[in-house]
Amino acid sequence: MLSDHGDREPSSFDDFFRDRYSATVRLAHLLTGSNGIAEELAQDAFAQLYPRFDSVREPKSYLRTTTVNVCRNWHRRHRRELERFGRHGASEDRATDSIDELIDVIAGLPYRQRAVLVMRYWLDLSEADIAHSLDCRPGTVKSLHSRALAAIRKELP
Amino acid sequence: MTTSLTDDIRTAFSRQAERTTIDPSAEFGDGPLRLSFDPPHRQRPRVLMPALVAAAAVLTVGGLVVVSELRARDTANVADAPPVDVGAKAIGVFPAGGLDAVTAAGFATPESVVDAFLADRTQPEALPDGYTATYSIGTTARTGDDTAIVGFNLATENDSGDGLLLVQQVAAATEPERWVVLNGGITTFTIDQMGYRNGQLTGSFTNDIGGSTDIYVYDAATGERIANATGSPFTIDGLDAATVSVRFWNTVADGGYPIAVFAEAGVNDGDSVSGLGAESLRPAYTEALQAAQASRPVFDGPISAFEGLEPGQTINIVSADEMTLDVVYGDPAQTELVYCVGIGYEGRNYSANTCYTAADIGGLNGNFNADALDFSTVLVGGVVPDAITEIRADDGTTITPTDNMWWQVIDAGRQVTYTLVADDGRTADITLG
Repeated sequence: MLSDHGDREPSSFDDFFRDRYSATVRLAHLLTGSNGIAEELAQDAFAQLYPRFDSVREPKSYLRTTTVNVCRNWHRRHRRELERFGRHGASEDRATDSIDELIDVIAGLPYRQRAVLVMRYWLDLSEADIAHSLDCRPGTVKSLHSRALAAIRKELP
Repeated sequence: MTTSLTDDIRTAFSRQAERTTIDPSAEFGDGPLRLSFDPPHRQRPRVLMPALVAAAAVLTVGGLVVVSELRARDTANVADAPPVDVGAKAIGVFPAGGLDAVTAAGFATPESVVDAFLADRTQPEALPDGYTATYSIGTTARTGDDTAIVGFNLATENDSGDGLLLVQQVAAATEPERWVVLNGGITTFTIDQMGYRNGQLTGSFTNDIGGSTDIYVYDAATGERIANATGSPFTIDGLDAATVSVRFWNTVADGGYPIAVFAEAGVNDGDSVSGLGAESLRPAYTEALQAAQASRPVFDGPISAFEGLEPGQTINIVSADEMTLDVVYGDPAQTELVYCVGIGYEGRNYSANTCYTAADIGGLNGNFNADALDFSTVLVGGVVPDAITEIRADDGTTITPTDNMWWQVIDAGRQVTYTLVADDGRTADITLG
């Protein structure tokens, strides 16, 4: 996959943690819709990277993929609870205007569809890089993306 | 909405991110999940775990303990499995009919049994009514002496899905290898749980894509379909088979169009299985691929085309309407010398940030995949050190690097294994696509 190998990472794990922690928490928040769990999931993602930090060639990419994975696992474990909230209740953010309503609709999407939107419109990743993070082919990313937009259009006036 | 939907999505994410509360004093190890991290000195066992998990998983699936009886090596983790009769008992979901059927069919490689399995499952009479599907086989990752995970892609007319299949070698050590398919499926589908007791099959699954799922139950020993159901959770009574093979087809998405979602796993009478499918296989698959990558030879020699560049200099290698390839001088502001390429392909321009370190290139990891804008084809290739003199594709094509770069256009959805040949005779395989 094409990636920015030229954007070198901080050399020590502590530096890397300080540099990437806030962004990772925000990513976890967007992927789960839960601010409350985002810091824990970010910590878990860093914990998975930690023992491999010296050998991983692209720590940022590795951390991003790991964050996507830990959030997916969290989502799967809590799927039943999320379903109980209903499609418009999964987000912690109460809808007050059309953007908040959109946040709620995105929170109700299947995880991989939501992850594609977050990586494309929040992280501005290419489809190739999204495919790498989701461990699928770019064609699948395209399919998930189109389904996500179709689902949103169906839900919103 | 007063702006475009995609603009609104960006705004929504920005707003949600602004609402994220972050502890400014957070340090690594804070939070209740700190116990999950392994200290560095435990790194090696952690790397090995996925392979063991994959091997352990076979215990839960249709009669696989046969393997532990037939092949003693490297099976310490399955030694406690209860003994079963070999006979005609199923030893996986494919082929049906036990060891005799496997031996007769002669599936000598993971790829050959997966090819036969997918060909069987996508033949018209095996598919749901009115449904068509094709498949392609991807990369194989060896997860143990007797186990492997094989990637595949399943496609309908307007959809495709990537999946993983767990396969195992079941012949005795003195016999030719014989491989069976144990379980697996498309990555968007997970079999959460299945239990089979006294003729009653229960289960549940997760499907990220939506739509409805048909469940087909087969006698794993004979291959005969004996029941079907729809939806999750499901309960089917009155089954008469020692082992059942349960096949899932999710053929229509919520939007009404045909989709490519498939999974299959077996369960013995009296057993309960959980977490089967591609998601459970993914960690072992990823680890095995990374291990294979790490085991490649490393070339520390020159990368001449790049090293002779002056600031601002670019060497154009290919210039056509649909493809441009440039060797680009690395930005001197970088803290480490980088080797950059400019890539334009079929409406896309990747020239901004495709750079590799000498270690990337020397380790044969300076590769790229560039999709055409319409996703119909993919430009694959890489930057190689001077030592690499030839690249052989698995379709017989031979490629000679030009200015330390090589490339090939392949159809989207296809994966090609390339053997990189060095001037000293060393070789390394990479798979792109």
